[in-house]
Amino acid sequence: MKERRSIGVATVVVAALAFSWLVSAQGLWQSFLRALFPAQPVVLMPRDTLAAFVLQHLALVGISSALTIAVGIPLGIFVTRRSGREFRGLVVAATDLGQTFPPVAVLALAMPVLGFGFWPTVMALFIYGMFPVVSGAISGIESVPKAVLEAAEGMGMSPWQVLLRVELPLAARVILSGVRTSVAINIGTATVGAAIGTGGLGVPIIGGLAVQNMAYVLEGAIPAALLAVLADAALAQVEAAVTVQEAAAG
Amino acid sequence: MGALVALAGVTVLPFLELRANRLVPGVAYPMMAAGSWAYLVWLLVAVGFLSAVLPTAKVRAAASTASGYGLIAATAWAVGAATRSLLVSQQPAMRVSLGAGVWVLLAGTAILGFSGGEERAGTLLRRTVPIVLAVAAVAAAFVWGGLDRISLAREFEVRASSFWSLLGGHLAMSGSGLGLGLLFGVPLGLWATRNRGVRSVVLGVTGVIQTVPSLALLGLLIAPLAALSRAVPVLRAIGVQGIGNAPGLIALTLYALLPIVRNTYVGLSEVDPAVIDAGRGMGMSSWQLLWRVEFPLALPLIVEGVRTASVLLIGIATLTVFAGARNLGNLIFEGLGQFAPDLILLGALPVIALAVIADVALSALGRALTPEGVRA
Repeated sequence: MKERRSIGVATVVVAALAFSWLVSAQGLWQSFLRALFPAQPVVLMPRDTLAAFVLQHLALVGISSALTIAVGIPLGIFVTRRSGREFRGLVVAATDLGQTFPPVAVLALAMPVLGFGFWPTVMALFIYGMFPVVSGAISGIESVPKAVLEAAEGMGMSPWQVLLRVELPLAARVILSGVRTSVAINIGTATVGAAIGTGGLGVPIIGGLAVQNMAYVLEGAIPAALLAVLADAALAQVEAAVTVQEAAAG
Repeated sequence: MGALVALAGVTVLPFLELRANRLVPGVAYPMMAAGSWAYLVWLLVAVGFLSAVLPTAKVRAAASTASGYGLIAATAWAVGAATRSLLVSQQPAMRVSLGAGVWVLLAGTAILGFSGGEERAGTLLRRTVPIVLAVAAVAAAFVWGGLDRISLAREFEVRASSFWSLLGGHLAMSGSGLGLGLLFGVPLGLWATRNRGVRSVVLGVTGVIQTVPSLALLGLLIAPLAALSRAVPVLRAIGVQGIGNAPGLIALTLYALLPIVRNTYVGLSEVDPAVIDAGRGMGMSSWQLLWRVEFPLALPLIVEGVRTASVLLIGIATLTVFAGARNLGNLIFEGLGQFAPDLILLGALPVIALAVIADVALSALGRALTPEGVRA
């Protein structure tokens, strides 16, 4: 079991290294797209290198997801505490409703309020990413059996100890699956952010579609797809890691 | 809590914005521009505050209902009245749009509604009457109250004819994606329950498709489709092209697969083996078992998958405009391109409304389809 896990982690690490090599190999893309579209005069978007598009994308997703996790998980925990219980119904209703809102519509609505560019998009991604994270945190913590909590209290644990040593470890898998959903949506929505001037891998896709240059489209679409699958696989490994720990502990 | 948010909306933030035309930023006006309607809004916010401290649960619920729905109606009239007074003797290009204050006020109202909701069970009639009254009041504000002069309504007037066709395009696009998703997804889910190998391949592949960003998937589909259509004239004749409806429709179908396949699979495999044994004992053939026992029991979960898929598709359909489709996404991205907030709203609000309606309707359908005996 342990061996299989380390193989999984190793695969993700190797894939990540291969991905970073691939997106920095500008010459390789040039010749690949040139071969696919011989008639196209320019096959790589001149605005930035592919590596730069990838880095902009990672910055958008990284900052907004980090904010989402830093605010969303504590918020989810707060409404399951006695002091926050009265906000639970409201937060659950808001996250349920929020998750039915299409991310593109939310991004579009955020624009007139927050403005154009990088930081407004980070804000919009942050807010939208909160919904799955908060609802994952709430359902994760509430999935911990009552008997376990009572046992922990009976052992003389303080509320903080119960949270840190019993609830969070047992809820970790569900919480992380919320984070995984949120990051996946985030990577996808960030490509649309190119329409409001944020940079990232959406720029060659949208730009390519606008000028009918399919080479640009692939320059953005292939790395964006690989990045999303890679990030998902990496988070799946983290999820597996905490699940194994949980099984070993039980 | 809700009342606090509403209060912030009416005091701190600008209520309306007067702009010289539809593109430039405007001058902010407070709610008092609405004249006497503003006092009614104040009164209802006060009722909202009261609803937190009133003695019995029943009175509290009534007060929060009254203030919540009342605020929706009063806000509509206040906005209408203020718009009218601001637009008197101004140029026709002038636009009055809703300020942040109105949105915050409405958010506070929604919170009031949510917090009252738990205590407000009551009969169906009791629950629908306030909703109908509020909707009627908002509609009346459009006809007589001047609400039809706000910029969003003006934007709609300008684009009325194309709006309906774009809305139709949106429904057609997401509806056919969903239909195709069902056509392929349900048999695939069924196949997955009968064959282990198929299960891991189908669930794995649809899972990977789901993680790929929609815009990237669309991009990846366009180039091969364009090549295919050049190579096979028959396909071009039936409308399969790199640009147009085809790539969008294929992308939507692919996205619909995961929730439908997964829920069909889970629904069918969760049918109690004892029930199947009983059916077999009654002499049912495997087809009869499937149609009369397994599918009816799995149906609520399949509908739940359809719900997830349709909410997803209504959102993603907006992106297919980049591949040449025409739907509400056109309004959103044209609006983003022109920096025209009202145009963005005109596209985005109906998209959100469609998603919410699909969500509510399909969850109700799922509940109705759950056989009485297995209802939680």
